[in-house]
Amino acid sequence: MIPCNFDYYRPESLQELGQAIREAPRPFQFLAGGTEIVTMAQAGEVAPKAVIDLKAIPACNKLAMENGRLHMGAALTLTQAATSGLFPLLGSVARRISDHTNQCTITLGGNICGTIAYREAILPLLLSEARAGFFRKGRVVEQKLADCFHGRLQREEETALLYLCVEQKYLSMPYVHVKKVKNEKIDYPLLTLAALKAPEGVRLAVSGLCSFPFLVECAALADPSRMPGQRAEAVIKSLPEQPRADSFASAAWRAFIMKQAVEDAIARLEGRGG
Amino acid sequence: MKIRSSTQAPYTVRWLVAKALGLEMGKVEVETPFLGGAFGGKTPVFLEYLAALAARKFPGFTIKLENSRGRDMASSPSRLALEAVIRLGADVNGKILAARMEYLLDCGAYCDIAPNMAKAIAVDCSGPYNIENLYCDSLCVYTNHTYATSFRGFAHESYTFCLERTLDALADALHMDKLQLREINAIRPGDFTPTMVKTNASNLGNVAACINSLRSQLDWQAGERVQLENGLIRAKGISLLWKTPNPSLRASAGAVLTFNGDGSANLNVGVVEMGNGGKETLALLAAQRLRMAAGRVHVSFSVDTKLTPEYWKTVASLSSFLAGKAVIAACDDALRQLISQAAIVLRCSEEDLDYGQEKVFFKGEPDFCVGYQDLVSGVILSGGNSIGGQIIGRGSHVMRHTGPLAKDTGKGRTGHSWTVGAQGVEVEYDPKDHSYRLLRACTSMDIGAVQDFDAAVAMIRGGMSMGLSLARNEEYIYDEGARLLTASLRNYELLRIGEEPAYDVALITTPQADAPGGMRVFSEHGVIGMPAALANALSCAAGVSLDMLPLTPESIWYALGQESAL
Ligand SMILES: Cc1cc2nc3c(=O)[nH]c(=O)nc-3n(C[C@H](O)[C@H](O)[C@H](O)COP(=O)(O)OP(=O)(O)OC[C@H]3O[C@@H](n4cnc5c(N)ncnc54)[C@H](O)[C@@H]3O)c2cc1C
Repeated sequence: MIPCNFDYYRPESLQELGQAIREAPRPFQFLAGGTEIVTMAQAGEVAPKAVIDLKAIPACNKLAMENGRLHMGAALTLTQAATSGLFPLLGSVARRISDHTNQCTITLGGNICGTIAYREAILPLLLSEARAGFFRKGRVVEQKLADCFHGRLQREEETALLYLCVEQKYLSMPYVHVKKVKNEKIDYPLLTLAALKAPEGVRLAVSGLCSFPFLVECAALADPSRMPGQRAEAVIKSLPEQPRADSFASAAWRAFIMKQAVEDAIARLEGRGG
Repeated sequence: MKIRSSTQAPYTVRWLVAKALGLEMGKVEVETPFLGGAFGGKTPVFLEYLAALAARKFPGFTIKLENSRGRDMASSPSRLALEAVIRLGADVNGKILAARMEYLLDCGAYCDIAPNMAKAIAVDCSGPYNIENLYCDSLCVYTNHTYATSFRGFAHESYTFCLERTLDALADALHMDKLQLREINAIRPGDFTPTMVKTNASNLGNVAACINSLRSQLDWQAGERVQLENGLIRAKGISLLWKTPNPSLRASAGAVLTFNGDGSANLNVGVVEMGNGGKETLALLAAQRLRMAAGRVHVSFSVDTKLTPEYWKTVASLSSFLAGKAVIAACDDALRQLISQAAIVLRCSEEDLDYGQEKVFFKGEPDFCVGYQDLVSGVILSGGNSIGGQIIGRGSHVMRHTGPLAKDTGKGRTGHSWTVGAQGVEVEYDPKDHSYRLLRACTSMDIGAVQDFDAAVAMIRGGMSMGLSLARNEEYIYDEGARLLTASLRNYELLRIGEEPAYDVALITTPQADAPGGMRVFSEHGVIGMPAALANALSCAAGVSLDMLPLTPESIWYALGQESAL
């Protein structure tokens, strides 16, 4: 049961979106798949006066190649993004977020903008230098995703994420995706690692390891003169914060699986060993 | 006061609430619907007190009290935690000569039923092994954790883990085959239990047959540990199990049998149905006894303490035995009445009569008969007069010849019989990241007699799955301030469908002479040896002693690290 009343807006164009944002009582929330809002509202953690549903806005639903870029609407479900096959690394990541039932509801934008800190779908986007389109004060503004994502998406209040786009060249680059959970398959990640082999060298992005997802910044990572094990060692030293410790795993275990996963990813992408 | 509660013990709720509020017992009526599962956790009386207090404060109002999942996990009683120190002394041939054990049961902040669980551990502490010199302390320890109550297995799954891990350590130290070690020490009819009950085939069953059956189920001869070409390791682990119930003294059951005008019967017993088929089993027993078709004995799934004869509590896997005996007594009582009324109708003596297919007939002349439908509401004589009356069968049973343990010697008999079994698990382990998959889980159990094969196998498999889930994932984790961090099914993780192994259950049938149909109780038992078998398999696979639950890749890695640091 959701124990509060709220107004419901379902704009069908950007113009209507602007109108809804102007009219809606405060505080309001954007609504995408609703999996998180519903859970949090049930627990009494949020009580919006209104929700603005983004799922009927064409720009949020488009999935197409346009002018050499893949345009992905923020309201696409993880399943839609995965089954299109257009961005295999994103598909691989999406297929391991939550379970299949939830993947059919959770949206790309919801995963990135939500409160649950893992935001795994951001990893392929950070690796491929995606750009993000926002609806801010009645206008569409586009920005490099890396410039506005620091652990979480930095966006002004009342700004909606409309779409993400990625240049075509990234879509077919070799990649590795590893998700490690406490046991077996479906769970929050102890570590999700996405790796892309760009012409300049291997890039890594991780979620679950620390309290927020991030792009690995470590000069040694792309240095082919060093062994994968040494580079993995260097990556561990360059983390933005200590690995997290919680009821799912200790910091030491997270560091262990991270090192192993980085070493493997480098070896696989550079064609060494298995 | 009327209480509607999701409980396994409606009669205990009636008694304790009446006592707490100073009410006459007859003024408290407890109604229990068909429960969607219980497994011991619905035995303690907890929310009922609070609701009853609120109801007393607001007469005339209905009070509804319901815990959210998280609150229930954090504040309602949980499963126990156990630590043990076990020392075994054996000769070079593997014969165990002496054992000393100390079990410490973390019962949380209130004791509830935990002392009984500590007693149950002591009573069965040796496992199904014959150990002549045995010393055991089994203690409850108060802690600031969630308080503990019964859970399927009644602490046997926990102490069996400790004991069976130690047996594997002994086998390793002796360089002995692990199944053989167990075979050498298995308890046999004539041996004594830890509390000095002399066993026989009827009260014990056949441990050796279970071991033999498991040996072929697991393909034990093919090897305990195999390294595959892809670097993965397949390994097997085993555990024996046994359990006797620990009912309170004077645990009793009553049953009333009434009939419908068409000759079909209604069975009224206070067993709570929670999806385990307890009522179904009793209805089948009654149908067999009355020689009626299975569907002709009806049961009502709810229990009402004002209408239904008392049944102690639906726990300890005892329904088929304790309530079964009451049901049989009620059937016999009804049959006596049916035959005596039939003797009047058929103008013969009772000895001349036999019954079957809802008829009472002249022995050897089945056509000379009268149907149950013409007997159950009194009989009409040929002259048109009615005599006799309704047939109402009554029966009851109280646990016999069981009692407390002697204070100084520990001797005593707490349960009427044992159920024994042997279990095994096969895993595939990845030595690189310590992840593993459950491949197979096997059980051979002596259940006395088979009434419904599919139901018995399903019951045991369900227990096995719960045991694997416990061992693989389940854990209450507290922070430094003893706050529970895992009060949600998102982080208190159960075995998921995709993680289930293939199950294989074999049934052994050594009848229990004093039990209805020779059936032993077995509803809980599937869970008991699973945690130990899994830990034994993984210890063998990883080459390290895994003595703590749950068994996650991290905990295996940690154990390996601890060992290499030594
Ligand atoms: C059972 C379960 C398991 C999960 N497991 C994982 C996991 O393994 N890995 C992982 O990364 N995540 C996981 N999640 C988190 C999930 O991805 C997020 O909760 C996500 O927010 C849900 O997306 P949604 O579309 O349903 O969001 P909604 O509930 O609709 O919205 C969530 C939040 O995001 C905001 N929002 C949504 N879309 C936009 C937009 N376009 N612009 C601006 N704000 C927006 C909403 O206002 C709201 O505050 C799990 C969630 C559940 C329920």
